[in-house]
Amino acid sequence: MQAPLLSVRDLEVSFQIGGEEVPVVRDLSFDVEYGETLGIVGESGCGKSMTALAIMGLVPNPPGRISKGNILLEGVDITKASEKELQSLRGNDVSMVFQEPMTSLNPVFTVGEQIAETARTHFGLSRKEARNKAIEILRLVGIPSPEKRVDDYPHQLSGGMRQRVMIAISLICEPKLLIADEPTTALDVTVQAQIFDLFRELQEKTKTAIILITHDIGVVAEMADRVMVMYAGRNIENGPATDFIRAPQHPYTRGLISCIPTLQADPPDDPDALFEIPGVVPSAVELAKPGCAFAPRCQNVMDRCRVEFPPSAQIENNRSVSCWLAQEETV
Amino acid sequence: MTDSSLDNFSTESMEKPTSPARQTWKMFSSNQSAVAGLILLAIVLIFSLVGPLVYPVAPTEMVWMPLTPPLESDYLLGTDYLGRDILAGLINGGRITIAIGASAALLTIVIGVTIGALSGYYGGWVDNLLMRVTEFFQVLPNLLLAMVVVMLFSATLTNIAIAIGIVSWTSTARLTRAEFLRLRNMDYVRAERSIGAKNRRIIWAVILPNAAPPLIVSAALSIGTAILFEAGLAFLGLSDPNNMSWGRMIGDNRPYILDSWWGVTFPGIAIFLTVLAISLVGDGLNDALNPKLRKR
Repeated sequence: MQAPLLSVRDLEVSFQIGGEEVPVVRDLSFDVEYGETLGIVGESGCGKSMTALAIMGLVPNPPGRISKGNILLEGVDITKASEKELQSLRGNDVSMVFQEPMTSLNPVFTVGEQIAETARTHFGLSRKEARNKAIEILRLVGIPSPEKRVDDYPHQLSGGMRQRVMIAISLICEPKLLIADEPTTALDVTVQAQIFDLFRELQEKTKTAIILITHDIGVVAEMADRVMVMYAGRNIENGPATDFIRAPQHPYTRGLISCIPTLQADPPDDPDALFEIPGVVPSAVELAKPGCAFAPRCQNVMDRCRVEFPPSAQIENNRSVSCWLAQEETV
Repeated sequence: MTDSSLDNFSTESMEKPTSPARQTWKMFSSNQSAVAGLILLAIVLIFSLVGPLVYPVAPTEMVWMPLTPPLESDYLLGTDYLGRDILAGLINGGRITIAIGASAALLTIVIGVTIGALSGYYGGWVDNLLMRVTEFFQVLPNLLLAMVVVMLFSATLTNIAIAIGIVSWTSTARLTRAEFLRLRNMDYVRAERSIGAKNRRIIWAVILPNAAPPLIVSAALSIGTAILFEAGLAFLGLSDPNNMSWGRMIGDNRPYILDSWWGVTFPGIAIFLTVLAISLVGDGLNDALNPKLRKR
């Protein structure tokens, strides 16, 4: 079997908060195979974005740092790479699409100049060639009349168009791994669908692996091959996307899926129609306590959960979960 | 949604991409006092650059009776205490004054922007070190330091420009640093880093263009300041003896101010008008480059 494209082992990212070092991502291990789409879901503040930044080698330092573990991208350990090595890795092997298309483009240059600049530094193209390459890739990401749009400034484009430009920039060097950090959160629902169609289409053409970070379960069900659920900086459930929707194992995952409103239920008459998980994500400082981080909010909490953290256990093929209850049920 | 419908939409709604430079010019040209300043500046430049070709009298030569009042001889604005032509002094002095002003301002910008950019971008100990150096220069009395530099290395045009440059870069450095601190965490800077841009490129090609508006204004205004500074040094006798400048004319004629008002008045007016023109242009640029005042 081929080694995975990306292999994260025991990753811990810590932040200096008030003189104390607090881990925001801990004991995180997962793999991404070539050409696959991994969805990472979880509430705000559960460490999804920090995981993405760690893979890019962009954890803001100080106050943050990767305090433990390894991130192997095709055998190269990102946690030990120098800034120079990271710079050549970024763009070429791994690149990232950010959440905010409105502010992720440089306002003083035309979109063509921004795409062309990347093409020039990575491929050593001439100005003219780079411009043609920019037009070509704008057409690829579905921007109409790219010959004209190439001379537009970012403020002349809509949010959806800007996100397409961002995707164009991140794909121009044909990275093996693309990290999309909530790429459609700031966009309209109809535009969201277009952007995801685009991702799928491009993935077919380029065979790029995608890590899709989102808090939208629907998106994950539609896009991802595999799903990883994160809670409080940990990987609590990991498995194929279809199994994850059909039979969630962790109470938190079950809660997340129940949170999706259905058409059958009518909220005004039925107060239970919109389910919510009680409580909030505990702050990073509270997590120093032993036991399962989800225990205070869990409906199926057992005594054991409060004292001992459940290790990640294989329950089926390619499926793992960190929950005492789920493990007892399968045994 | 078809592609052709999008095509129509886009071609009708926006004919030409409006570049930031074009927007700025539109805004600038609608500002009357800025345009007046620009015209005045153009007149001063033509006067001192083309003047010597049209009016070939040497400014350092004694050509007529000393202290001749204006309009009483062939020399329109009279002569000074050594019988040198005031008009020739104005024309040739303008070249020197503007050259010193511009090169000192350039030096101010180069030093200030470099130090401010490195300090704001890297932060940490780099920032600490560079800001302490900046503060050191800030607490030294400017005029005194410039005088010491000029006296140590002799009063040539280059040395005077350098002296003015190294005493006046501090505010530019602070301004640049503030802009970099604001911009370095912008999303597009992060995005640029995520596709593998090097620090050098992020500093000079990504952040600096975005920090440009206040720096352009500061650069324009610092030319005016440098001209005044040069006049101040020359007034105290620190000027290049081989070259006439407006400041030197005032300095030379100061002892005879009661006998010949024209000796100091004309160069004084020249300095006043030039600095006024530069300030008007600078203010106009400030308004034109401020996105909050810009019409959409």
